[in-house]
Amino acid sequence: MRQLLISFLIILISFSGCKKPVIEKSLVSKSVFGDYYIEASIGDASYLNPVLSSDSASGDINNLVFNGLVKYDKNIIIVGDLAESWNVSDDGKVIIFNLRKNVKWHDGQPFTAEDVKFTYEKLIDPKVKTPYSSDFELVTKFEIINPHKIKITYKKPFSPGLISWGMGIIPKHIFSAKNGESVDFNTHPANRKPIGTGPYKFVEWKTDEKIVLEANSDYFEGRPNIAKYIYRIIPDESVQFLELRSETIDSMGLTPDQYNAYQSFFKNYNKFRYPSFGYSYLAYNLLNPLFKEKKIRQAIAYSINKKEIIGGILLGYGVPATGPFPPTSWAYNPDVKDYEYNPEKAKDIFKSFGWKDSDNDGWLDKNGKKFEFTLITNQGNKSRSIAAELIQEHLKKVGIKVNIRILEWSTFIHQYVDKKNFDAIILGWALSRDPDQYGIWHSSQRKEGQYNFISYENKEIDKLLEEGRVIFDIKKRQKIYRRMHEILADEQPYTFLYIADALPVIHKRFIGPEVAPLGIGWNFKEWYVPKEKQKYTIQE
Amino acid sequence: MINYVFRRLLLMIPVIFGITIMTFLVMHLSPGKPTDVLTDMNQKISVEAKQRLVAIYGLDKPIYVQYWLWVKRLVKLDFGKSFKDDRPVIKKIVERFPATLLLNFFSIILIFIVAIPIGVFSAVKKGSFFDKITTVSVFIGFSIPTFWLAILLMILFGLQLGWFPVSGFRSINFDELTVFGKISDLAKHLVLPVFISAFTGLAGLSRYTRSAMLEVLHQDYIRTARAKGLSETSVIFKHALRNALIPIVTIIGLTLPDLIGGSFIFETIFAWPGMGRLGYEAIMSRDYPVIMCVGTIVAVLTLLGNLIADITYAYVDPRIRYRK
Repeated sequence: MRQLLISFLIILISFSGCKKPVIEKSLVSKSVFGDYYIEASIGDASYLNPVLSSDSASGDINNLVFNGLVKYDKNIIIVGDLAESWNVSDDGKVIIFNLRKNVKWHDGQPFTAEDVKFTYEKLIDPKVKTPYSSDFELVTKFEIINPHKIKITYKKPFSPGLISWGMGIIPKHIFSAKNGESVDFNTHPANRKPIGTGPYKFVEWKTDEKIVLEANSDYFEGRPNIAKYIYRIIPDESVQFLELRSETIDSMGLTPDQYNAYQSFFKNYNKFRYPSFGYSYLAYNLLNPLFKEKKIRQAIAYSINKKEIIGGILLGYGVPATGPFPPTSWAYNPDVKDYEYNPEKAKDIFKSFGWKDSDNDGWLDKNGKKFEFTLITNQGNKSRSIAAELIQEHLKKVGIKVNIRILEWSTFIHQYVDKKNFDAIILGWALSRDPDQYGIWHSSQRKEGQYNFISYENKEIDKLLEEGRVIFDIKKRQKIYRRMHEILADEQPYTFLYIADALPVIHKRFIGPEVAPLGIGWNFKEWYVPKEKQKYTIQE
Repeated sequence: MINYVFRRLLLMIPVIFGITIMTFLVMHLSPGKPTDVLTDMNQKISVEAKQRLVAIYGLDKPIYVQYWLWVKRLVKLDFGKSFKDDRPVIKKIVERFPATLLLNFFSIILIFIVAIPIGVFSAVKKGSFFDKITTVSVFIGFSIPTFWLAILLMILFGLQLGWFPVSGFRSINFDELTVFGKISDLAKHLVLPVFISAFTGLAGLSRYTRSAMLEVLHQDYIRTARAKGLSETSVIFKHALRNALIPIVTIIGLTLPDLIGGSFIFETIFAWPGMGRLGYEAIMSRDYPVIMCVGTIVAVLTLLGNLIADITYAYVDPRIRYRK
């Protein structure tokens, strides 16, 4: 409510001289060094150590300071980063990485296989507060063949394991004990003064104020063009927006109303728009007899007007979700058609299952019982509660009574979702770039606290998920996940609702930002500001 | 007197323990664990990895054991390490303390400078236009939503006029400025938050001064002073105000927790790196050690503030004396 009120107020005050937005196409000319890039974040970072951190603020910084062995290119294909190349054995159990030889840590020390081994040891150390240990559970052996070659053996083939080596590699010489002192990895001072191999070097961190990085002139892929990267902590989104308007920050992800409202001020900013890597869904508790039949779930899908939901919540900045993958993923199946809004067809299906309004009270009933269920979602997410209300309205039109309950997040997750104590919920998944969704859909993942909380079970899906994890060939994996997309769209264990657009704006003086399936910042190292447009001067 | 202070200080110990037990209980009984921030709805994290994190933080132990461990550390003045970033809690507090102190110090001074004259004149001119208009304005200040006013002023003075920065504690190039430049930069950043904090906090003190002044103006000695033929200014400022200020002096003691505890709203809106935000963020992420430390500090300061208020009251008002 508060956010809405503030947005409304800002709209009122600054609504003047609106023009159609003009998106200047980035010019490709000779890049130059200089200027700062200032970004804002709602929260401060926690650890500037990729092994320990899991929040997005720390992630933003760690991605610029550290490198993994591999990374995603703009099309979400795995390419080498600190690893020059790699080989996967025929049985898929062994990966051999050949490391780059010309890489130096920010303090000038050479990067070697020892650093990778050290990082791995920390990831599996039970005393280390890392949330990433699960990715490495299947590793049975880690061997250094020579300072630039490592061999990793897995218990069984595990293709999502390859990208888990995209984890930022940390320097052994910084963290290891000197002169016999004991070192606590979790509290090590380097967690606040990181030394990495990445394109940017750490300069300073003023808690809750800003984090400053500078271009690494020894970077193995060449020095980045933007001299300094400044990460300001501004905890209120509406204030962030005011800072953007006064041009004291250079980029921000906007909400649909912000993106729409201020045409005139966008003369200084380039607007971008692309689907985010996640989706919102309406999930059914499949243990509930109401939702047992696939046809009934399909009929509910026909009754929900996704276009209206997207228009109402996202002001049109989103697309209907047809399955568990966003259109930018290579696993997405473009042939899967969405369920068009068709309440009449839905009513016919309900009727064929014996659900009709026999007592003329407006609600469907069968054997004296009304078609009624409770839809729950979490507090503090306005889009979800509006989606719940719209779904309630849509289902009312076909005769289904929906009650809505909005619950505090922890109570919602731990008392209702984990314990399967619900009829239907609205939630969203933020997805990783790898399409493996074993945890969400595999029938073995139905225990309390696991993520197949709807109790979905389908033998073919189980088989596809298992196969998808052991095959490394992207073409073959694509086939598997596209089939999975098809089945889930047909089975409708969730009604996949929408994929919201990411709506970033970036100051016009920056040349180079380009939208790709991976997002917008993938080529940040190449961005530059022409000399005459540079806002902050750098003394070299 | 020393005896009295000593007794009061001793009494504070059980009260503080009571408060910490309550805080600890409420904190642990509220839904959610500190590790949830890391693990909730993250399909990459297995159930075993979640349990491992819970064990590392010691959250698998019964509540009374966790509390006992906390007390044992507290006795050594060790407030533990933050769950968020593993840094000593006390270090995090010390880091944020100057920003909060600076903001609240100036805003309290501004409140005193403005509220006392408003209160005095409203009392002297009771029922006048001035009295009515100040009453209405201080109550508007009191009831106006802070974040709304802050955004309005940011738009006007930050964005449209460009006089002051929209938010933040200091500029990006702060370190490169001269000493004078640094002072002026800090001052510029202080203006809006101090003004808003003072404006929304005026009502209490000005109303308090007004009623204290009204009470004094009805006293016999004021009538006597007037009968002696003293000028009105002399009656009000020499005789009445001095006595009316007695209870107000004690308020200074009560502002102690504010000075150090900070305010979540101002600090969030103005991206001010202070204690209020630290406490709030700790509550949101269930960072138990930080919540306990901030809670304990605020409790101690409130009790100390009360004690200081009582002592100053006795000092400035000769009618109050503590018996042995």
